[in-house]
Amino acid sequence: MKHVKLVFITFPKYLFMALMLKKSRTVDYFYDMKILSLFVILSAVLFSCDSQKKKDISTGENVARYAKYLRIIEKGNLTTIEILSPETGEVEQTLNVSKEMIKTSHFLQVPVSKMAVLSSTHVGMLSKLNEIDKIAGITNRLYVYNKELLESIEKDKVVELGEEGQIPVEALLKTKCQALIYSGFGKQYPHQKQLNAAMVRCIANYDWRELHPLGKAEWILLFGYLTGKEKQAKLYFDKIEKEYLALEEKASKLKNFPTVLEGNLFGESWFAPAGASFKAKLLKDAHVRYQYADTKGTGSLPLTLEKILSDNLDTEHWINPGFPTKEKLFAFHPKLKYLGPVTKNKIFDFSKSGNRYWELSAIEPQKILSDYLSIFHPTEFPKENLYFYQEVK
Amino acid sequence: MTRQKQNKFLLLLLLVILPIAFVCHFAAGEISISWSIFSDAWFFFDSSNTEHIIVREFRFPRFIMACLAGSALSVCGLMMQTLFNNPLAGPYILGINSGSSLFVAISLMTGISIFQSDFGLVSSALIGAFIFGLIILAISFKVKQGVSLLLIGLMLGSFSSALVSVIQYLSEANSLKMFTMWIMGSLQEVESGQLPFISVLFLFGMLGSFFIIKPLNAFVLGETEAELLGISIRKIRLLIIVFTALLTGLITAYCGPIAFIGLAVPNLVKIIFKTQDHRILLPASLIIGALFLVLCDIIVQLTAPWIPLPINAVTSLIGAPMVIYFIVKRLAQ
Repeated sequence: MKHVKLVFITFPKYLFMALMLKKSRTVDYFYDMKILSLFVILSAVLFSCDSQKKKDISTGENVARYAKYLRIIEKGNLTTIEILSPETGEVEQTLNVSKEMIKTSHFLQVPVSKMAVLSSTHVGMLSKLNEIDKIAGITNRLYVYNKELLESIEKDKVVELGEEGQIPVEALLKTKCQALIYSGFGKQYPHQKQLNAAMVRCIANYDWRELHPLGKAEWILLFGYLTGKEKQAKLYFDKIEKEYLALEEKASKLKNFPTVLEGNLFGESWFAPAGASFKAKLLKDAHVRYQYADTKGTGSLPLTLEKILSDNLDTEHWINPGFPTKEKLFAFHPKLKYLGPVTKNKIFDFSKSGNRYWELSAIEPQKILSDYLSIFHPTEFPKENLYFYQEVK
Repeated sequence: MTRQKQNKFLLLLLLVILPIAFVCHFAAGEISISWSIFSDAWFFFDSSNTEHIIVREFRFPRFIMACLAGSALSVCGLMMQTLFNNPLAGPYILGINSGSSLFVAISLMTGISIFQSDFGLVSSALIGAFIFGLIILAISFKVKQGVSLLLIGLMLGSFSSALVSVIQYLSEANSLKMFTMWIMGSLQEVESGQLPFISVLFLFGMLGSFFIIKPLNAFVLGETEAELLGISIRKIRLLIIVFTALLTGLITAYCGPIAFIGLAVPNLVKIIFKTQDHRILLPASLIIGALFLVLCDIIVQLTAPWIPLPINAVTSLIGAPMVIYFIVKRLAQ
């Protein structure tokens, strides 16, 4: 703070006074040189201090332990949040947040009073911090589960902004929100320049690219810092981490490995989770044998329906087909009825909870794992009611 | 050899290529299946045998659908080009496909009960194609310039796309998923059990088209000349729209909107056969249309393990340059 004040206020003030003096008096050439030298030396000293500070930030302890694309470093009253690009691993955005009053565009004063959130997972994370009233804008009410938020939309307190990449800027500005959280896609948000000029900070969220279920959930910390509830966010995350790891540990002691198929067709191909993907990790933690667990990649594998059919002849379970009933599933694609798990009647899907799944699954990975364990190992993990899932009948 | 004999020979040759195309199409599938299993799948079918299922329920219906869809869209394109006396006309360009898409969108995403019957998808696609066909026909009475009519067709397409976008925005997730899947276009959704129904409607539309070959030839001379030959212009126009709507609607309902075939294939046929005689053009469009879509589907299957290409993308990738070539060639003339 002192440095900032010295560079931007004190030193220019004295420089200006000295130049004024030069105008009013006859001053020799060496007087000019003295001022210039002083400016250069002082700038160099201050710059070196700034570099030192930067060095401290990048080497400080990262608060986020599982998230690959989120780095949070606390230093006194200042917290630096770095959003990393999943493609390059480089820092894509840096956000300096502070609870103190700082009037420069490089800092974001928290708590943020209002924000627009463009993904269901963001709503879920804010709901866990009891900060739904901070939401000023969402994409579409059809995808909202949270009752409080739905009521706010009904009362016109929250604006529907439409498709994520094409939001009406004026409608957003009208909400007077200070931040816009969007699902990162490797580039600047489409209207970022205009929004920044209007003091709306565009923040990329890569929770959807995380490879560990807890890494996804850890993005709650971003919302924690933005809302000034970082302590609650940390406590919440510690709680779910404990529950998740306990379930994983318990599952790892099981001896049987039920077989499972994941996903559904899209166009000509079945996009099955690749071996290092988030979904494959969840299946691994649920102690099942997944046909494509050993494949490389963190995204999806495009496979033909013929391949899926022949590879999964004896597979027992099918998880996440994306439809709540067999009738709808076969209306979507009639040939799905030939898949092994269909003949064994072991299909489970999250569509029971619909929007609840999309809103809360990222922040409640322990509940997904718990559901998976009850589905795949019903004897060892009996459960009367699944939380997100239901059998597709 | 006269041109007529040459053309008949070419038609026969194309008919011979069709079984070869079947063999290539069958072999293009990702799972390798021997010909002995292929014959077993027909003569000693075992419902628990995956390979038998792949032969009977996956590859065979897919090949038949590729043939039917390619033929139907090409013949529709030919009839539209003759009706509007414009080589750039086709069910896709004139918005007939868009009519089907709009009504399928209404059927899948709004939940209006009238469309929720067993054949809801087919009937809505047929109704959409027929309504948009009639609209374009009505406009054609007022607008005589071919280019203007094509532009109006494109506008109809844009208008229906805009309506579909609104419906998509308002629809719930599952319906949206179903519609997105449908609009991407695919030949692999049809089951063997659906083939008889599709074939009957296809045959009806195709026989109807062959039934009006003579008036179509008269249309080539111009409407006034056709009228002088005693042809009821009004009746034939309506019949062309009915058969086009039936065939386009049927194929669009089961395979989604497939672009460029109706436009590219009839032009290709005219270049190969160098005739305006629909006795040659119609069967040739039928066979070349089938071969064209089978070829596109072979590409889809061969590239599937690496690049998942929708059939619509492949037909556009091949069809669009062909259409550009036709336009440039026409302008050069």
